[in-house]
Amino acid sequence: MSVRMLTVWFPDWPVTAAGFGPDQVAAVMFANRVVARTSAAAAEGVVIGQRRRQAQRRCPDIELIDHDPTRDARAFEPVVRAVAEVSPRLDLIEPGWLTMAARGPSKYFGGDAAVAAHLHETVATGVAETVAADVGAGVDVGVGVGVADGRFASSVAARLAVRRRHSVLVDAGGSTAFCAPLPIGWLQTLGESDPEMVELFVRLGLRRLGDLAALEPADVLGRFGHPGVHAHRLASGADVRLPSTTDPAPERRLDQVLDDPVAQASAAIFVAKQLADELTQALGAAGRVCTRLVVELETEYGERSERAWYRSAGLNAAAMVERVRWQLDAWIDLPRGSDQEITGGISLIRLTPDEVCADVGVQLGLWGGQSDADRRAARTIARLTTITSDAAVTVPVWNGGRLPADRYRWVPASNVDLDHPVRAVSSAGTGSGPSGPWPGALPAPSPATVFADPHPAEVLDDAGRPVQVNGRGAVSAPPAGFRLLSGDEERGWRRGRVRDITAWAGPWPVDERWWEPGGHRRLARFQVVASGGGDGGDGDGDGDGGQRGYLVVAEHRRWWVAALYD
Amino acid sequence: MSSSSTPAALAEVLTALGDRVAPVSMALERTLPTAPECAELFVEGGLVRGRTLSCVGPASTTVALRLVAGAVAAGGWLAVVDVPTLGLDAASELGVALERVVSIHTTADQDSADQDSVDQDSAGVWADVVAAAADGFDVVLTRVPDGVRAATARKVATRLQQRGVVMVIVGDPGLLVCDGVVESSRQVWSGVGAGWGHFQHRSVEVAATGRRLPGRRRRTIEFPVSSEIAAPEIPAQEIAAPERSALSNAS
Repeated sequence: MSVRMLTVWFPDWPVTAAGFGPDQVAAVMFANRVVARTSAAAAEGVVIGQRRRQAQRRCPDIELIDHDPTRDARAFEPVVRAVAEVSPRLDLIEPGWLTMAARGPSKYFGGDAAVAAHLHETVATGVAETVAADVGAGVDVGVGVGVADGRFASSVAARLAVRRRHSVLVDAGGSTAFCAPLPIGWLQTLGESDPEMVELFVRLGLRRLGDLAALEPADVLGRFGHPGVHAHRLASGADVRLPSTTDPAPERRLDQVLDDPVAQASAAIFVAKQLADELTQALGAAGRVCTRLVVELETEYGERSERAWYRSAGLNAAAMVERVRWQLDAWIDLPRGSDQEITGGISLIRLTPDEVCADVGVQLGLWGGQSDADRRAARTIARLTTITSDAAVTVPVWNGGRLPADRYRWVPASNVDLDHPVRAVSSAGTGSGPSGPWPGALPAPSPATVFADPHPAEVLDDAGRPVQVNGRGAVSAPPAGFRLLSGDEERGWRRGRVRDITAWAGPWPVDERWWEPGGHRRLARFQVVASGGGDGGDGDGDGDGGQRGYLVVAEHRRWWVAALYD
Repeated sequence: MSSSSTPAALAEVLTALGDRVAPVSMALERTLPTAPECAELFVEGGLVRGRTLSCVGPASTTVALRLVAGAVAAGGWLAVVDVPTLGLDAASELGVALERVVSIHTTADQDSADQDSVDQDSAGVWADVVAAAADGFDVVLTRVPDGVRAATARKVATRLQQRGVVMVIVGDPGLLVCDGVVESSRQVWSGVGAGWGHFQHRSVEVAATGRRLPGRRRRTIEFPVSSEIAAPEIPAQEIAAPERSALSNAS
């Protein structure tokens, strides 16, 4: 039987925390993507996950703010305090989202509806007073309150409450029926299943939570493993933890008494990091993971701050430290004169794993995934973009084509998701083999230098007359030498030194896109080998450079050097 | 079990396997991996972090790409600064993982009348970009623009050394002092004749010299080479596959 839970959820908390009201156009960005936006921005077409430039295109006067989880946590503290008046035992999931057991308060206030209405009022007015003070009084900061059996169902109810503009209460025992008609994407929205899993469900025709719940748990386990069972359990309206798996938390409370109270937050965080590492190691050795962590902080004068943090996927050491930091920052930021205000250094840090469960493990990607080098590169790319320009920092994308210059495009790095494990960058990545869909492309090896704008040239025969290629692809005479041209046609070409052609192959005609007036190209390609001597122009030829390979193209009765095999 | 799996043979295979699965040398190590045939050019068997190499000769770009391919295959990122003509097909064939290639152009427009000041200016941007790229990339492939002053060149070199980034210069390094020069010469193409065939193979004589490289090391490299550089083959297989990077001592 699931515990009856109440959830308070703020839509797009990061923008509210940054001090923007719903009628201002603003969005919070992380890694070049929108993570939260105001409802005014949403009305303009700004959606979560959108790129910075797309958001700016939809809405040019949008205010973009950097993501700062600590700021979110600080701003959430008054809300937590207001809710703690109702029930001291509440779990913070992330800033803007908290849950608590509903039974006690519900009995006190006289029913779920009463407690939900009370919470909605205290929280909404509290937020309007503190956070949105500079926005203007009377602004309605959206908040959703939902009550249902189980954490998942109540979180869904809270989110629906924002949409429906009133609290959503699910009757006891009604979570299964409540969840059944909802789209399966809720699993992803609440971060319970990864997008791949949800996509797989949809592809298999399981479009609603009820469809998944209707399957046999054993079948789901056999096909999808533990993540599937987890999703199935939530979809059936049951809570994450089955009663049978609820074992008493091992007495693993870890604390550190600091004889020298630390006044700096960073020093306290450092201690917390050691504790978190120790705790996760100890739990990991027992094959367990902590899902609910109680963090207690105490100062030398006895002021205390205690918060419970919940995360259904389990908290690793880094997540624990992050939560300690949020809590500490929020505490330090309390206004003067409030209850339990911090006045001295931290003298005690205690981490208590309140809920642990068997660690079914998350299989990290063996290939793909992000390495440290990838993250460093992503940061540097952002920096390089500011030094030069958006258009100057580019990454290759496979385009396809018969001519070397067509085969790859360079697109601005800021428009590409560099984290995406399989970017369609190489011809192999498209699954079409190097020569697959492009019959008539030259076989490997490919030229190492490709000119986007080919160099004009002249190809000569034995007698020094220009070689011509007719429409049928026949050569007037075997090419014997060629020279580069510089300058332009009107003022007359400056002709370079003639290079002797020792070997040549071709012509390979290309007649492509004849159906498209602007894109029609008709040309013949040659590979030529010119002997020794270097090219004088670069000054790096030293006489015994050996043979040089060129890709020469005849187009519009003229010759061009399209690429070098250097 | 056949007689080939004697303890000695087994140990040999295990050693080779051990080398194969050994962790990729990253930040803390001194060298970046490079393609096997290029590794023979250097005493250290790889590209020493912080060094600047320049590639000259008729196969300079190809050799440069092959030099950096091993590092990119092992997870490093390649910044291509001011080489807009880079042939990506060739890069891919030479074993460069294009997913980790980023190109940066520093010369946006040169319409300005005062060519000299443009040179100075673009050289300054080039130095800034290379210095910034050194923070996040493991290898920088670049052409040195005209007008880089000796002082700027020194600053860039110091920065690269601090960050442990290998810079491979295609063409003339200008005033930049290079730790090594990889010179290609005596390129011979095969597969093409008087009006028939197409480019298939070439053999290039490559020599590495420089103030940090003791003596002159010379190798003949046959292109195309196998692009499997991330996982060096177990010797037994190498013998069985004669078309793989045949290395020979030309000198």
